[in-house]
Amino acid sequence: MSIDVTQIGKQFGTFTALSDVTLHVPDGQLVALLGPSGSGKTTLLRVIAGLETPDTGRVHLAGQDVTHAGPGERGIGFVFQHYALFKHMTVFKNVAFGLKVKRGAARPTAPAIRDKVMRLLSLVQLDWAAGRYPGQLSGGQRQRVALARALAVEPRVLLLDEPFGALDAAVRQELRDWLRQLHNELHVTSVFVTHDQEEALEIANRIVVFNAGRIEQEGRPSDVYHYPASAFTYRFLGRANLWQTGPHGQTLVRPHDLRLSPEPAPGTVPAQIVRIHQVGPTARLELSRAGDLPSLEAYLPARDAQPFQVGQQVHVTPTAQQTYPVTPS
Amino acid sequence: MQAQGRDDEEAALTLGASGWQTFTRVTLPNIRWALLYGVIICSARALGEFGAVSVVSGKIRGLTSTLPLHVEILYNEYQTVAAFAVASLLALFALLTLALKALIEARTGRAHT
Ligand SMILES: Nc1ncnc2c1ncn2[C@@H]1O[C@H](COP(=O)(O)OP(=O)(O)OP(=O)(O)O)[C@@H](O)[C@H]1O
Ligand SMILES: [Mg+2]
Repeated sequence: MSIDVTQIGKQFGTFTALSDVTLHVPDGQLVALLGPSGSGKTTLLRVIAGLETPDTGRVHLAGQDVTHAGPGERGIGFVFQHYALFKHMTVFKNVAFGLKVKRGAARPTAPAIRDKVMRLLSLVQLDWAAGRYPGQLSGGQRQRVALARALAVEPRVLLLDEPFGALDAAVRQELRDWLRQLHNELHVTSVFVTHDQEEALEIANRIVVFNAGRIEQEGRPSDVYHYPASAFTYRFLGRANLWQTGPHGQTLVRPHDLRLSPEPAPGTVPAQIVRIHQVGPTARLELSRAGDLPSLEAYLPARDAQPFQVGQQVHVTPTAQQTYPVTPS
Repeated sequence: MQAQGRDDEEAALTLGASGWQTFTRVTLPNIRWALLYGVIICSARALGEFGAVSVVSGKIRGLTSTLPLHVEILYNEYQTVAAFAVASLLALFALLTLALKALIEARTGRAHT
């Protein structure tokens, strides 16, 4: 089911949380909302879910105007950052909840509910935990219960607010792969919020970058990553060095796009190595330049960094760079 | 209820529950022990109240007198045995309330771990 939000505006008192946000999510896609804290990602997700009413603009699901429909009438599934599982119910009852509250003929029979819940629990590999309470599960397990609970009502749109935000790196990676796989199987249109650029670049079909209540850029992950449209997006999607500020604006370089050599060559800039950190297979070098040029951070494969020492004079040149006009802000 | 936030209720709404279903199946079970605890503490407080009731009620025997007031009345009438009997009754109620309170504290304590 496609999602269309058109010119959404939302104020909290005098604070503008969303301004003129327009976004189209085609049926079956997995879209990531990315942006700094407070940029309005959760607010947009809640507007799509019907948990928040926009001040201006409209929300369409599958072409149908649902701007004033309640959250229960939209056919959505919502996964909260802190799971929001019902603590007084077992895992089984949590997942069954959405089916049990259906009214009249829409409500499945008890055996049908039982079947479906157990099927969903085995899908999230938690059939063994049906009788447990949420308090007896780990964070990753709770998150999977929350996902099963949302899927039980067969939503046509799945909305996930930082679904893996509260989990450690290994569990995150595992659930990330698993979500990607689930999406490949079910093809349910999904929007998820994340702080983690890598997570967004890895699993989404499309990325939407938020900045202060507006959409800064949207597109395919590789396009957004390789061709950031603004200095904001460039800086947000990875580490950035300010190479120089010239008449055309500021030139930014990624740490892994800097080449170091002991000898000067045309176009190189002299610098001194201040510090070298080894982080697994990568060496991170801190470089200071003469005058008031900002210092640089360079990432090299650990092997290539071996000839260099702290205090050494080197010559630096960027292999890729982007120049953006300086926006008055 | 404020400390528990609205996440649970919002989750129930997105799952298609009506306002009433959300209240009876999610909100109420979440607060039932806190609610019962409040009722018990409140009754204990009401049971023992003396000064305010004494001033306001008019102390009409069998109509607006409460147990603590009755103790006073009996005592003033030199019915010491009866006064102590009523006082014992009051103490018994207090113990009962205490036991109930401890029981609920144990329940809620377990629910939060
Ligand atoms: N109910 C509310 N009342 C007042 N202000 C709110 C409310 N909800 C959100 N805001 C404000 O709106 C802004 C956007 O909030 P939102 O939760 O959408 O940010 P976010 O992008 O999800 O941030 P984060 O990554 O930290 O979760 C924030 O500055 C927040 O303080
Ligand atoms: Mg948020």
